[in-house]
Amino acid sequence: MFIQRAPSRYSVFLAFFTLCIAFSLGLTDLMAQSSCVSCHTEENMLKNNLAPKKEKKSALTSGAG
Amino acid sequence: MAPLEPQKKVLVAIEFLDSNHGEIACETCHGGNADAPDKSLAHQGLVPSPSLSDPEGACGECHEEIAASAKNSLHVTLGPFATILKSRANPDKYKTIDMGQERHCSQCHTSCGGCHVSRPASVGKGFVNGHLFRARSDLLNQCTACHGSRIGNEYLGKRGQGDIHAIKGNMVCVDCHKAEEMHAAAPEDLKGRYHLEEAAKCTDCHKNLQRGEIRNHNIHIGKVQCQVCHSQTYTNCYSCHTGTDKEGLPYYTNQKDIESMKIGLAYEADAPAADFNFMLVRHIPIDPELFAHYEKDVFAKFDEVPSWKRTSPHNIQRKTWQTATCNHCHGNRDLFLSNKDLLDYEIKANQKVVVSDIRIPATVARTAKLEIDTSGVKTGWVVDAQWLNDNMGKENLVILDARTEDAYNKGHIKGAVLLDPMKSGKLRWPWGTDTPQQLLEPEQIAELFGAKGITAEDHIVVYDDDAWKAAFLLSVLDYCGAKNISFLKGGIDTWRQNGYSMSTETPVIEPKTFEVDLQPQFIVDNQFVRKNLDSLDVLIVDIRTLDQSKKLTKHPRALSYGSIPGSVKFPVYGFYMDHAQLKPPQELLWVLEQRGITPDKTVVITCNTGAWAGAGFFILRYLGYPDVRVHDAAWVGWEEFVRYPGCGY
Repeated sequence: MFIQRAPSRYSVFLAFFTLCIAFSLGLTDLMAQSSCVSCHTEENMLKNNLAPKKEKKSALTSGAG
Repeated sequence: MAPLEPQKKVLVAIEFLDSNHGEIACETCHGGNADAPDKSLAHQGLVPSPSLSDPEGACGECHEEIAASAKNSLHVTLGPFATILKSRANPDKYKTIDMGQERHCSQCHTSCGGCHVSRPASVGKGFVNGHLFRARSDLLNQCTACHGSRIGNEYLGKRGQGDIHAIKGNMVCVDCHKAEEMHAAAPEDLKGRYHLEEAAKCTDCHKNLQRGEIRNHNIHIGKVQCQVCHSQTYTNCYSCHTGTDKEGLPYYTNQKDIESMKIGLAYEADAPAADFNFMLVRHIPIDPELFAHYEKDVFAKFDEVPSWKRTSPHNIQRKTWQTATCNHCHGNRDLFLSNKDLLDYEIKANQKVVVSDIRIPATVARTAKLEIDTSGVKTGWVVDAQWLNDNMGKENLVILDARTEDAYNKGHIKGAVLLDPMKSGKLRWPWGTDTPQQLLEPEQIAELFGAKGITAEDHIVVYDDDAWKAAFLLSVLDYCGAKNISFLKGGIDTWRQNGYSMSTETPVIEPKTFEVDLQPQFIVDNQFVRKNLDSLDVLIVDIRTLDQSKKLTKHPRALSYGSIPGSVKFPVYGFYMDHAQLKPPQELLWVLEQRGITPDKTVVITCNTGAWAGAGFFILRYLGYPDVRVHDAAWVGWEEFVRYPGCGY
């Protein structure tokens, strides 16, 4: 059985301190960046993750005129 | 257009994150799982092109009105395309047409993203500029990436002289084809793209023509489509066939294409009669066997719709050969579509477009006569396929093939000797040397000619497949003092089409001595060009295509975009037609005069590396220009020269 307890003054202070540090260093922005952005803005990371797609070109590829 | 490297296609620019669209979370438009720890999980449920599948969902929240309308626009639906295809078939074949269109033709349709953020699917996709959205579509990466083989090539001088809107106005596609047209919803029963109410018209800008000061406008408006008078020749495609290769990938091939010009009768289905009576027509690539790979006899009603259709070439010039004198059109039977121009299977289909003899406007008796001095034209410098066939085997006749070794090995004119002038180190200093791509010492060139069995006294006929390589080689022969040179008009394609003998055998070459009789006056250096930039007697002609001379692109080896100050822009393809064809000398002379390139001046031709310049030099020499010179250093040398003036380049 769990016992519900109020947070200690120490843990409240620690949480507040962590948030202050995070905001002051702009870490919230970094955290807000999705994994999409972190990969798709890094050319080398993309290069390692992408294999050239095998495709046969049509005889004419820009025939719309 | 070269495809982007895979990683560059999906590389997002940091600037995007600060843009309006960058404030939207990726998954809002693209789905997927942004919190996933690896690529495969992150990409589950990913929608790469959200505006393609759901334009209103992807873009409609902010651009509500546009997204609602644009989903039915011609770029998205290609509406009349299917309508016209189906009008040639019975309903039981519609399924095959839909399937064929989806497999082979629909890659051309696009979406919001295809015009505002990415390159279209037909050129391999990829972001134009790091996923940054742009309201105005990019001429090179978007519009002409699809509309490239005709419109892009015409507009940028890759077929013909280019378009005056590009040369004089620096205009891009969206300057005429505005958002109202691009986003307009096309009615389901739209007969053709020209019927779209919002479609761009010349008169949107060029107003009051009928009551203007130009007499020919007063006379011809309401009778003749603007392009009839103001276009250059354009390409016609024949007989598109579709199929599936061994790997199951769909392909299509065009059997034939011809650069020409034909005037046809306007007919209701394609051009409302109120607009004009005569219009330019081009052969579209339709063929009864288009989808025969999938099902026979799909187009049982092929005769219902003409295969010669209204066209609006994007190579407009104020003065064209048609405007030179009334009788270039009036009474000129060859310019008007006739039954002789039709293939057997399309005669009935095109009767409403064909101009019968009695509909040809009568010759005008009193009209200004053109005075074009063709006395200087060196007629022997151009020979046709029949002449060459008749003269094969004659003593001292040497035939040079200026194509690549690969093309030569697949088949060449019997007895022709391979000399690819573009092959590194053959005629020009290689890249990485002090004078890259400039001609080697005359003795070195003469040694090569001798090794190919050529003497300066031989009659040397040169051919290729697109004219300028052969003409460049001829210019080098001329510079070295060859006495008797000729360009094969129509090149290898015309030779082959005429059924003349082809071979894959390499002839035995007997080395000879080529005695150089150098013509040093034919070549000028950077110092000469700089000294004469402001000279009224010296004209610098930049013969590059307009994308390069107008600074949209550059040669891969050039350090910068640009052109020599004050140079006249006249693309090399204004001299040569598709498949190494040539326009008549009097037409070329007239056109050049209109552009200020006249024989009374010293004409210096420049390009990127000197090869196109050589091709232009040959044509002007053929036309009898007394003082023509090649700027051999060309743009790659010039930009080094002006950047580091002290280096003595």
